[in-house]
Amino acid sequence: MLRIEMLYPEAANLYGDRFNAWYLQKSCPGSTVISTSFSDVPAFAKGEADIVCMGGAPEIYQEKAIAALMPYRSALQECIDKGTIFLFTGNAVEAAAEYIENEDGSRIGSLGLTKLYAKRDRMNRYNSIFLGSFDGGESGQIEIAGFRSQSSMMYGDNSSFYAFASEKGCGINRESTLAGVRLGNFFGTYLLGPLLPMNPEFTRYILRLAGENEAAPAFEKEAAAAFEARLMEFRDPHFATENLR
Amino acid sequence: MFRFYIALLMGKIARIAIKILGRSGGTNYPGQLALKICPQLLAYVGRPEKIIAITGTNGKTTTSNLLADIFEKNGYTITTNRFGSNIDTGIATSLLTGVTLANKPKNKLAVLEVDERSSLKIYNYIKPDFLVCTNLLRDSLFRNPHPYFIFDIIEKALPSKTVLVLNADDLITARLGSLKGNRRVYYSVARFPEDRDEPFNLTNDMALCPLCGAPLKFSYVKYNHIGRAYCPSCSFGSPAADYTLKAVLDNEIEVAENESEDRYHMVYGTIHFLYDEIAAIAAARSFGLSADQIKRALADASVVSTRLEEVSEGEVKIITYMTKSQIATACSGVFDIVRGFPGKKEVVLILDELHGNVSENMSYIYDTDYEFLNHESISRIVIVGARCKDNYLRLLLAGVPAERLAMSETGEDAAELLELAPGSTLFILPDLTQPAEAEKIRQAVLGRLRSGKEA
Repeated sequence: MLRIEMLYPEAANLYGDRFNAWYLQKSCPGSTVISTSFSDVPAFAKGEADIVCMGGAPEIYQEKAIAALMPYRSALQECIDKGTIFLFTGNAVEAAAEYIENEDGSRIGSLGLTKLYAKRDRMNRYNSIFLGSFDGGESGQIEIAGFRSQSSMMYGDNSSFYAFASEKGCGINRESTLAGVRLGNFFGTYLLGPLLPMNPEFTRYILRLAGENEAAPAFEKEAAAAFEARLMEFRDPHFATENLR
Repeated sequence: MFRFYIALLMGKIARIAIKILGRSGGTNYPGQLALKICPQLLAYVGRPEKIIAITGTNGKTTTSNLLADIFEKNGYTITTNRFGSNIDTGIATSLLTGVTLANKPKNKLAVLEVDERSSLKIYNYIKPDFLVCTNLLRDSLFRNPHPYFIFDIIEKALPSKTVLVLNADDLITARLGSLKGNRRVYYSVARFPEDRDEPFNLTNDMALCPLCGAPLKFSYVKYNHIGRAYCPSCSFGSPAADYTLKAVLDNEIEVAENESEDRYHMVYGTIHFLYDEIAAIAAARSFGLSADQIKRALADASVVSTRLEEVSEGEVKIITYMTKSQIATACSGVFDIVRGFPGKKEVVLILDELHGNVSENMSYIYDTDYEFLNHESISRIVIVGARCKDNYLRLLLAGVPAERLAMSETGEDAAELLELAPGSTLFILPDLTQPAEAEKIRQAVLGRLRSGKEA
C-alpha cells in the first residue's frame, strides 16, 4: 500500500496532473492519496508519504507552492536522500531550480535543489511532443512519450542529473536535449500531468521503485495500446515536433 | 496613410477575388494581406460610431450571433465578423469590408467577436464602447496556459473608457476593469434546483481568494468555478448583478433588472446557452435597446445548427452537439448535459482526430470530466477517431465499464456499434473540426433506423 501525497492540488492541478497520483492509486489498490493544501504541513515532512506528486500551476500559485515548501526544504532534501519518490510535473519542476526569472528580470527564489534556473516568457509559449528515453537501471531503457506546453524554460547544466534523454522535443531548454531533473528518486519534468497513465512502463518502474513489485499499471493492456499508438505517431517523421494543436 | 490606402484597396480586391473564385478564406485573408501591407491598419481603418466586442473562453460566438441578430432585427446594419475569424486578421477583414474605398464607415455599429489572446493586438487600436466577457476558463493548452494568463492580457489591453458587460458568476471575469476603473455591468443566473453547493468538476480555477488566499466558499455552483462565491476571511465575493436570469419557464426566461422583470424567448435551455442569452440581453440593454426591442428580436432566435441540431427518426432522437475538443471545460459541460438529459442515452464521441502533420495535446482529457459519462443512463459510448485509444483508457479510468465502450478508429462502423433502442437518445458529440464526420455518422444512423435494423 502506498501513501501518495498530492501537494497543493487546489491550485497545482493544471493539465490533469492529479491523475499521476490517482493512476498510482488505481495501480496499487488500497493505496491512499493525501491531499496537502497550502495551510497543511506536508506529509513527506512528517515521514508519512512514499510518493510525493506536485503538478503545474498558474505562476501566482507556483510561487505560492514554492513559498509553502520553503520551510520544509531540509525535510524535502532528507527525503530525497532517503529515497522517497517525488514526481514534479509541468512547471513544478522549477521548484528544483535556484530561482525563476520573470520577463522583467525580477527573480523569485526557488528551493535550489540544483543550480539550474528558470526563465519565463509567457507570450511565447512552447508546445511540443516529447519522445525520449529514461535510464531505468535494471529495468533497462524505458521509452517516454508525452506533451510539453509551457511558458518557461530552465537553464544550466543538468548533464549529470537529467531525467530523460530527448529524441524529439527539447530538453530543459531549446538548446538542450536533456530533459528534466533526476535527483535520486526525485523526478522533475516539464512533461505535462498525465505522464503516468500515458507511460505505463514508467509507471511500472515507479511502482517497483516504491517496492510494489506485484503491482501493475492500471488498465495495463489499454494503457499500453494507447502508448504504442502514440509512439507510432511520434516516430512518424511526417508529424511536426512543435506546433501542437 | 498612402500605405494604408494601398492596403485597403488590396484587401478589398482580395475579398472580391476570393468571392469570384469561390475560394475559402474570404473572411480572413483580405485582412491578413492588408495588415501585411500596413501593420498599423487597425489604427487607420474607418470604424462605426459604436463598437461592441465580445470575448471570453466559451460562448462568445453564440453571444455575438445573438447580439448581431438583436441589432439586425431592430433595423441596424452592422459590421460584424460573425462568419469569420476573431483574431486581428479577421477583425481587419470585417472592418475593411465595412468601409468604402474612401475609408468611410458604411455602418454605425459593429458587433465583433474577439479572440481573448488577440486583445493586445486589437484594443490598442479598436477601442470598443462595450466589451462583453462571457467567462474565463481553462482553454486549449497550446495557446492559453490558464485563465489568469488571459485575464492579465485582457486587463492590460482594456481601454479604460470601455463599458464592461461581465459575468458576475465568474469571479475571474468579474474582476476585469478593477484596476482601470471601467464602468461595469454585471449579469448572473440565479440558483436553480439542479445547482450544487460545492464545485463538482475536476477543475476549479477559483478555489482560493485572490485577495487573502483563503479557500472560497460557494453559495451555489453551475459548473467549474461558475457560480456565486465568497471569501469567509475577507470581503471578496461575487458582485451584485444588474441583470439576473431568475427562472426558466417553458420556452421563456425571466430576467430581473432593477425593480422590473421581463420575459424573453429562451434560445436553448442548457446552462451555457442561458448564460450566452443573458449576456446578449445585458449588452443590448446597456447599449440602449429597450426590453421590448430585445424581446421581439429574440422571439424566433435559435442556436445555429452547426452548434446544436436535433432530429428524430421513429422513436430515436439524435442530438448533434458541438463539443470543443482540447477545451476541457467545454467538453465537461457537454458531458454534464448528456448525463442530465432524461431517458436512456448513447453517445458517439468524435473529439480527436489527426490534423495534417500536427499532433494534439491529449493532456486535456485528464482535465475533462469523463466521469460524467459513467452514468447508468448511458448504455453505450462509441469513441471515434485516430486517438480513440486515449479516450478509451480515460473512460476506463473514469469508471465506465468496458462493456459499455466501443472504438471505431475510422468511424465507418460507428452506427453499427450502437443499440438505438426505441425511446432512447443518441448524442453525437463532434469537435468543431469534425462536422463532416458527425454528419456521416448521423446519416448512417438514420439509414439504419429507416431500414428497420434497429433493435
